[in-house]
Amino acid sequence: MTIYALSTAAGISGLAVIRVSGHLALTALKTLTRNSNFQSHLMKNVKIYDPQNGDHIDTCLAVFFAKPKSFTGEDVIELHIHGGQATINLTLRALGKINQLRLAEPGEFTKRAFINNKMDLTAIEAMGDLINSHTEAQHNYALSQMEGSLSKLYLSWRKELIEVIAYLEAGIDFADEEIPQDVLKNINKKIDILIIEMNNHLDEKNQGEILKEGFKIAIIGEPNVGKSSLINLLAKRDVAIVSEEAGTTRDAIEVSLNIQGFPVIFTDTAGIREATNTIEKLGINITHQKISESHLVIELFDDVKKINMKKGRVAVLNKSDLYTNDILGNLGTINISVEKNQGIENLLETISNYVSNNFISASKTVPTRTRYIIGTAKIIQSLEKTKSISPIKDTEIFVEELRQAIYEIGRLTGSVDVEEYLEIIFKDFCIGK
Amino acid sequence: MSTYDYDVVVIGGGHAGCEAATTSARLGAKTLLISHKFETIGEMSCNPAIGGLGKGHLVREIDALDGIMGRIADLSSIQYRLLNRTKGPAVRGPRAQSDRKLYKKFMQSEIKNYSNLNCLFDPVEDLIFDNNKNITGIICESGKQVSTQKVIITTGTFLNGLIHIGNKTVPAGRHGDKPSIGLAKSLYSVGFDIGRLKTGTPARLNKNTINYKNLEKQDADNEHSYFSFLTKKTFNDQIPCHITHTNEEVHKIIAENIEKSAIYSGQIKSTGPRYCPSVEDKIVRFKEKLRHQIFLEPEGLDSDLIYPNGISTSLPSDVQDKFINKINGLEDVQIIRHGYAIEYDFIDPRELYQSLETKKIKGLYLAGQINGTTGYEEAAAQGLVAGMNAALSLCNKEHIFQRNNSYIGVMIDDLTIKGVTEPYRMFTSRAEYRLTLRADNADVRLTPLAIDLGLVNKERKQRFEEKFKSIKELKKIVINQYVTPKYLEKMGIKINQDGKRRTAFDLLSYNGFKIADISKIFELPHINKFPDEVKEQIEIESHYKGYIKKQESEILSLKNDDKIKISEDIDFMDIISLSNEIKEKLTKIRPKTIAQATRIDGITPSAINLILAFIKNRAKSKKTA
Repeated sequence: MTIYALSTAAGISGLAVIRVSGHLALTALKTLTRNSNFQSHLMKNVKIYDPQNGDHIDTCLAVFFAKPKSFTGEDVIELHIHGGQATINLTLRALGKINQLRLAEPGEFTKRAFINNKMDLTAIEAMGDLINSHTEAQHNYALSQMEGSLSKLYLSWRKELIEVIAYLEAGIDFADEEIPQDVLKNINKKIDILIIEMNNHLDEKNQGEILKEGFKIAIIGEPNVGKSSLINLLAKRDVAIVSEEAGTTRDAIEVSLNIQGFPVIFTDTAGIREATNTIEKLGINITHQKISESHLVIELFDDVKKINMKKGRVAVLNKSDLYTNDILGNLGTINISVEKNQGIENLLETISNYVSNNFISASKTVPTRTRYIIGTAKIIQSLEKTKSISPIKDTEIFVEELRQAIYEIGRLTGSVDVEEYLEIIFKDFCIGK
Repeated sequence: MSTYDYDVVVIGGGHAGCEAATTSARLGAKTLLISHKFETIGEMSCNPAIGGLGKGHLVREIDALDGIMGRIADLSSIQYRLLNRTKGPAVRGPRAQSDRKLYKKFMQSEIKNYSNLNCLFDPVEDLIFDNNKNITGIICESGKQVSTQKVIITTGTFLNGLIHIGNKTVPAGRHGDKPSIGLAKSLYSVGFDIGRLKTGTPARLNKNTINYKNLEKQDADNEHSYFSFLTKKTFNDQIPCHITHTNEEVHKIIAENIEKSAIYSGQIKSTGPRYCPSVEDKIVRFKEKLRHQIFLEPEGLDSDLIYPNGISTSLPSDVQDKFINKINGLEDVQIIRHGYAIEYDFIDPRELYQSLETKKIKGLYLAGQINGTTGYEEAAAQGLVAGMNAALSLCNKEHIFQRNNSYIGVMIDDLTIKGVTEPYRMFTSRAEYRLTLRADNADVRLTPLAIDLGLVNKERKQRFEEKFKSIKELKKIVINQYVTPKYLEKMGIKINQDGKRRTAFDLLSYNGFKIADISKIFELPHINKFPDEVKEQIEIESHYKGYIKKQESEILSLKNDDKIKISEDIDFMDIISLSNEIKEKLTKIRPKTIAQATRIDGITPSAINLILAFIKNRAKSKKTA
């Protein structure tokens, strides 16, 4: 079956893209446009008509992607039509009138792409991230992962491990052959190197979380120092991205800004903390939790006498317009005035520097999903176990741990067939009586 | 009473044929074995040895199912060696050099005297089917017809066999035998997918013309590991093999004449096994290796023939003469017969169900080399599976071996699901559950099942049940004996003083402890009296216990996938979103369960999900319909 669907978000917009995939995609395009002259990967200005009543629906752009060079690996066409709901509905209905075309199920294009080997599992997941990414850094990251830097990393581990296993298996299955003994010497070394690489990969997991979930900043401080006002001020800036968490009542307690391409999330616990005494304790607990979850803590003061510089926190003085420059100069705080909208740029720049110093050098192979992290940890665990096993005397147990490791890698990249070991054995050793 | 002449007819008297015929007869089916002539029954057409890694495991499994190969191999063994003796028990493979004549003699007498089994020596020319493509009988060269419902073909390399010696080609099966052209034609006419493979054999040498003086000797083990669980003694004198090597001069001669080799002249286009390369292959592919090992294997106690294992070749005879005479110890050797390569057709084993019945013809089973395998053991194991299922099918039963209970299951699954690209040989690395599927516990794994199927005779049943009972008894004792680390310290045993009590079973996995040590520590003198094979089982089980437990849980999840059946009437072409390639593959192979589908090469996890979803939706819509 050939499938079609609206690929852009529903709702009013300037343009909408409708995608069709399957062996009848080009036929559908020809039917709708009454034009049969399309070159692959070349966009064309066309008029589209309803195939039954002949009504002119829209004048728009259309492009044909001949298989296999398309998103799904099948013939694909895209109609870039005008974004009105009526136009979208008419076009979708027109497609539905063509034989053997049906509306795609959610995720069906991606599924086809996956089945036709246009994407592997990590790429599909990254695709989800790409669609959901709000900032450039997230976007770049998702893009590079989609192009497979992560799967490349996992595939390189897989390759190394297959080779190690193959050499050990050769010693088991070809007991009478002259397998050079020195191949075993390198095995422990290879495993050590792999463990180091995998641990480095795991160390990048915090970066992965930041990329996916944002750099979290907790704003703390005594009641009425201006935390909520600061958050609300930030929320009004044009770099503010999402405010889904915007207070259901009146105030935002969380705001996300695009800083250096990273999503930076400011959280305020004010509303809770300043509630009545009975739940004050609860409020304090939540504040502590927010602090522990955050990557950076901003402590807000409104009185120079109360300033208390703590390690790992950025001290910010609000209401700085009430003090003279002489007093402010020696404080070492970042001085702002929410009311007067002063010093905010300075604060953001400090945060921006902090983020870029710590995270801009992010590698392209950050484990962005929990299953990568858990999987890698399991692989390391099996590899570590081999250290107490003799590869000569207890080869089969040694291999058993490695088989476990390769099984885990298989869950990240696709499974390993025994043929892959045999191939290496027969390539690297002259076997056979 | 059956209206047929025979319940089951087996064509071919090689390793697959003999095992198929005896298995079928053992299950009570009236069985006929048809071959060209009596003299070639039980012939070892390649090297005179049985067993090895994976292969030895198969022989033990055949024996556990009361097959004949293990016993015959023991009766004719002239050099027992347990491979990987220094490694763990799971990867030890029993192997033996066989006396070719004795093997044949004992096999022939077994076949002649097997009850329910008759022989006929008359080449089969054609198969007879009815209109529904069910087998109804066979026709022989002499014109004789035999009616039957079940035919098992085990004709080895007889299908379009072509021998190559240099640029000479001779149509033939084994050396000196004529190929079965009539039967081949009738198989081709069915429309099976056919592939072509190649294998080779070295020259045979006169034992008395070899100079053994400078050659390394390889003796039999002192302690013999028998193939059959019933064998309790060594029947023959044990004699050594010798080892020599090729050298640079040999390599030079071969390199200079390489284009005369049938493999390199382009005369042979089919695939040979990677694990059994010809000597010219070794020299071309591994230029940096200055010498290659050759085992000089005696063909028998009173035979003058030596099988030089390691130099199979398709070079012309004069080149063979030249290079062989440059090998250390073979300077003056007399070549009795030259080496040759043989090409032959095989039927894609994906044409078979796991019972080894063909999907296209009901009642027709294929076993052995015809399915693209190599090796006596692989052939015999398939013979057993085909013979068993042909006989069981007479009462509408079947039995399928699983990857998790046997190497036989691994092999049948690999063959019928993945097919073959080179002659298929068993390796232990093919078994996911290698630590569980050991040669030592083949009886524990399979004999109970064989008893249920009615495959096992009284003697074996009784002996096995005694052993099994003893194992359970001893296990019960050792898992119920506890000891504190403090106590062990007092006994002078260094152990982590963690305060944890350990069972005697736990302790067995500590640095090489045996039941004898346990008997001392726990003051249980009577456990020493258990038979060695029983003590050994407990010791091995303890050695692998952590891993076996893990594998058992994996097996359980595999069994769950095995439970999800893909019913015969599902049309994979109906599963929207499956790629055409996968649809075609599934249609061709027709996996019966989800577990099987996952093992088909190229089947992605998402494809599995689509199949699962399809099955579920179908079940749902059936219910509401």
